[in-house]
Amino acid sequence: MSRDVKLWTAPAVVVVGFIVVMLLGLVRPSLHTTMFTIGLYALIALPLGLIYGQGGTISLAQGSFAALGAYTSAILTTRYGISPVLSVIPAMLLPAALAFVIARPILRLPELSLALVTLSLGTVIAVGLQRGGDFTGSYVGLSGAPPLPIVGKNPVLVAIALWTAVLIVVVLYSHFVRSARGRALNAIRVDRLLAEAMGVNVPFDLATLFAVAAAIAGLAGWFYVHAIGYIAPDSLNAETSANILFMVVLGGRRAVLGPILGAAFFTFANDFLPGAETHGLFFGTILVLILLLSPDGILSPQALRAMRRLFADRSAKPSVRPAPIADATEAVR
Amino acid sequence: MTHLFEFLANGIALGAVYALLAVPMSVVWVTTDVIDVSTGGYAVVAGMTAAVVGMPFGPVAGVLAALALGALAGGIFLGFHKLRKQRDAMLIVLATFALMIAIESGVLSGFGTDNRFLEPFPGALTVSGAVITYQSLFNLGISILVMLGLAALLKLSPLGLQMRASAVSDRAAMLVGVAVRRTQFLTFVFCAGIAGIAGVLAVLAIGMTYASTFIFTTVAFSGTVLLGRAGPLPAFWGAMLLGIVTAVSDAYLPNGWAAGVPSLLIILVLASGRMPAAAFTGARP
Repeated sequence: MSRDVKLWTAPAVVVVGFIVVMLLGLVRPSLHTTMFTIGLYALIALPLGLIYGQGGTISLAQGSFAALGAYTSAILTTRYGISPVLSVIPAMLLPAALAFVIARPILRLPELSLALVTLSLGTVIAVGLQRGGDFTGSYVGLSGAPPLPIVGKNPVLVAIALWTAVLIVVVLYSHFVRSARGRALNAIRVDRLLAEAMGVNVPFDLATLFAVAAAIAGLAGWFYVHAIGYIAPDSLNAETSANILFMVVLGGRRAVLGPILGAAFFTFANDFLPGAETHGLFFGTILVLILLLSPDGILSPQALRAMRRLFADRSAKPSVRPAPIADATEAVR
Repeated sequence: MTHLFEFLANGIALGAVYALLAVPMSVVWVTTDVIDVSTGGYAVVAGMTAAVVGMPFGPVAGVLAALALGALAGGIFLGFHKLRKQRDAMLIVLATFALMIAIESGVLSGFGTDNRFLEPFPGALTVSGAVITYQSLFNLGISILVMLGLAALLKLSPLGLQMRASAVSDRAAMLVGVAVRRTQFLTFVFCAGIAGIAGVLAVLAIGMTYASTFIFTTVAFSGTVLLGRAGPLPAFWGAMLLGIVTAVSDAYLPNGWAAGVPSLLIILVLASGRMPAAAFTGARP
């Protein structure tokens, strides 16, 4: 497959998938709301897929960064009358700035300690939001955030706006992983010391990515609060962060589309499985099985190769026999 | 001053329960290179079972339930080693995370959302004006007993020797004839039992809901990493410190802010990267 085709495969799949589901939504309108939920999770999960799948750096603060973005926009629009079009900037910048500042000291920690620190950061943010008094709405949260201009409360337009953002992130992600910076990120995951020896500025690169991931989560929070009109400390919290990690691992942490597939699986399963209290049993069991059988998730190269082999066997074409020696020699040349 | 003494005593009692969560996680970590994230789940299942069955058989039933879940986690651990030629500890950690999600959901389905508790021991001591409940002393006593028992197991028994050999190098242990995988499996089961005891003490002292699963796991993890992962002893002191900080901040900070103090402590300690490395010999996890 040529480089260009590889670059545009993931965005094309996103566009086609979105159109198909939105058309199905004409028959079953609740699918538009479902698409909003998937898009929201995908927007938070995609940058985690990048920093964890490509960079080997776990973060359990994505949900909290999204909450920070949502609260920032809610406070600015409801308290100070600023338009949501302008509030998107601080909603992304505040989580990004916080992430960049804390990234330097914490990103040198090993995976598990880093997971704990980011989880702790989420707890501190949650406590701050809960105890923020009238400013943050305390435990009750903030309501009355205005809808986005043009888009309004129309679920189709909201879904289109959100998925446009997802598409942009997918395009940037696809290009990034094939750029020199993307390869540097993979080098950091494989051997941090070697990457430094090769001239990669590891702390700066990781801190920048961590901040970008937080900014995108903040953008998701901005969408959330202006689509729903309400945000509370429990709306986007540590549990959201854990679920986001689940989606990334399940869908495929190394594939661009993995987090989106994970988000879709999680949302559809939540919608269609009976008895909300038993969902965890289902998700937990599925995750254990996926990790055992396909450790890099559903969209891992290993799983895709197995699927390709399966389909090749199914078609049982005579042409799959080994090529004649003369042809093989030609191919080597 | 009397109040401070009382809060410190409460913190030590709370830390004693936390220690029985952190110590098994630490033992599993050094023996198998895997953090068993479902540790909080074992404690909650044990506590809930104990509360539902009631005295006198509840605590035993609870610990047995925890042991069964430990066997399940150990089975998953062995499954990874059977199926994967190349070992990646992080995958197993994620699998135990999945097991925790499943356990939490199972507890929610089986026991509902109610806060469950067992009647604590009545009565209290008054020392220099500070009130210390018998339940607190009982928790501390059990915690110390478990630590002594663990020390005896690790130092004196063949299983302890095999666990220590596996912790130093599982390959070298295999070469000298230690049944490493069986030892690691038993470590999971044994440590789930300790977490089960913590769950029973917690249901006596503070009560619990299904949501305590995540909280207990976080507490166990925090206690384990706070002072380095050199072994059970730093985990014990780390959890004690966490308990004291929680109790004292609960008493002195405005309502609700105390919940963030242990997390803030963890961020400061781990992000500083100085204190534990200089003060303790354990490698940073």
